[in-house]
Amino acid sequence: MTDKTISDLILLSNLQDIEHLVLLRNDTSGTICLEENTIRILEMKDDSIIITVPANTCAVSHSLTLCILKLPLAKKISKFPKPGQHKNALEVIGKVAKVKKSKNKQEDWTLLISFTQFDVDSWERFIITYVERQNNINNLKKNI
Amino acid sequence: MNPLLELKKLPSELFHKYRSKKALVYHPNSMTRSAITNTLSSIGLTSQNVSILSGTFEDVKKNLYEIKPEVIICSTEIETQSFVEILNIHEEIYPGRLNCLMCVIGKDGSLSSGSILLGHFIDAYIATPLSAQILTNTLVDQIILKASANEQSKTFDQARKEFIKKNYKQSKDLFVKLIGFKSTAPLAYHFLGQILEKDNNPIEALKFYTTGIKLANPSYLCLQSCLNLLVKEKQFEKAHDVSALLLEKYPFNPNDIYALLQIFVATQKHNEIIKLISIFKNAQSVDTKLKNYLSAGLVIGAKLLFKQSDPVNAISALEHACFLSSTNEKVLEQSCILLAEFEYKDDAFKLLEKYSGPKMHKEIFLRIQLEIYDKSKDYQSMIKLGQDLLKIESSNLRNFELFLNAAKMLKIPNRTISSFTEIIKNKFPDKSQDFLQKYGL
Repeated sequence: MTDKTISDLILLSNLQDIEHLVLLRNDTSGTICLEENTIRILEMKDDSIIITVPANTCAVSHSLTLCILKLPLAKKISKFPKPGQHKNALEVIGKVAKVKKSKNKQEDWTLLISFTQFDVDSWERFIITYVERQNNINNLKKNI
Repeated sequence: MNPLLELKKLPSELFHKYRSKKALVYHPNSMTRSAITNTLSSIGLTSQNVSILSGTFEDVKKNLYEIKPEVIICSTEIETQSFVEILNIHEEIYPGRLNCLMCVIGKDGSLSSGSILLGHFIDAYIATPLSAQILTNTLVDQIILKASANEQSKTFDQARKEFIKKNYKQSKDLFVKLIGFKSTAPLAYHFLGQILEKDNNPIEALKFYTTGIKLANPSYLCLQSCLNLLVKEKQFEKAHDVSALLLEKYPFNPNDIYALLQIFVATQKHNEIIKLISIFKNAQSVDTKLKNYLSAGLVIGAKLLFKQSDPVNAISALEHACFLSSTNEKVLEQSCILLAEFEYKDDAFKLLEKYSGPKMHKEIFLRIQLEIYDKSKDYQSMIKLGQDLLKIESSNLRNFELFLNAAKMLKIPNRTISSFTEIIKNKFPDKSQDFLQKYGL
């Protein structure tokens, strides 16, 4: 048995998930989303991404720039970053290929964004972060 | 290519095996449903055999009984219902699990959320965001694992099948055999304990659990069952040791909060309660569902602290409970009621003021005020809120219950509150007679 107390054995890190802040700039309409917990990534494909965004953020064929930052950040973001402004940011440019609107007007929309400009290695490293996370979860089952 | 990005493939015999299987997919998001369906297609399932649902919980249940799919991929919640009921039905239909699959998709990828997997016999918990590798490789690994089951694993599946069908004698005989094998012993001890618990024999059950947890690789379920039974039997010192062992080996499962708090109180480890609360206070970046568990834990912890005459830490715990679960009105209500119950009425109103927010429904705000005054026995203030009650045309019977109780305590004449009795009769025609009789109206 351990000498540690029960509370010592509860790791805050086990309660926390990988978190990314997704910043969006609609280069067609000018809309910008900078708030945390506004945009959620649902799926990462080889050369595209599926995200949820607030309703009316964009339409099909709009050109979008995404800047993805790992949380926590030292400072709150008040302006859409310039290219290369944040050292570890993942920046991609794409076009909205598909929009799925919600039946409820206030609910978020789901977008499929096909990349037109992105760094393959950076994008793959991003996907690997989540693949490794899933592998850690899968490994829990070994000792069920 | 990085090997982590490679897509695994099923061997052809398994791919062909899965061609004849049926699947049910449920997820509220249509693009996620597409991703799941594409993955199922890549492991052999044909599109005509895949039922894709997005409707109600009752729809899912109905389809489950009608179609009897061997494969289910669903979100952790269907409407507001947990996947556990779907799992229970799936096990009822397929008590032998080697030829079926159930995977659950959730939003949070923390290990504590993943520990949801540990408490149930689902095949995978998959956290979003998804990718082809995450979905495909997780499913392929599980299918191959099941297909390569050795004799002990097949016997285990048979034993568990008998357990699900409540054939406890047959199940017990098989599990007794399985404790002789290293791979199956950890879970066999768990199930033997479970069978004895069902037979109302906790003493013998504990013997099996205690043996099981002393193995080199104790199973999560055995540890958790042992912990829960020790708490139930009020053997808190032993429960404390088992919970420490559980946490050494596995990530913290928020479902265990209440058991831990009971242990700390019973073993007078007041400092542990403070430490635990302090951990939860710092969990701001945690998933909403986890936050709700933690907030509920903080409220329970606060009550225990009040009872131990530590109001300072109790109030702090409630403040953090409300902060963590800012959208959960239930937590705010419970926190305010608790403060009032222990005679901290002013703190209750401060908390309500701070966390109610402009979006809170007036009716709920009114009810919480009434609850605070009721616990503080401030019946005059409750009567003063009567006009508000009439103005918002409340349709919550509890509000009227609180108000009429106050009127009864102050011996207010019936004719003075006749407008309320009329509203109650109109809004709650089925319940009004019995309800009003309680107050002599």
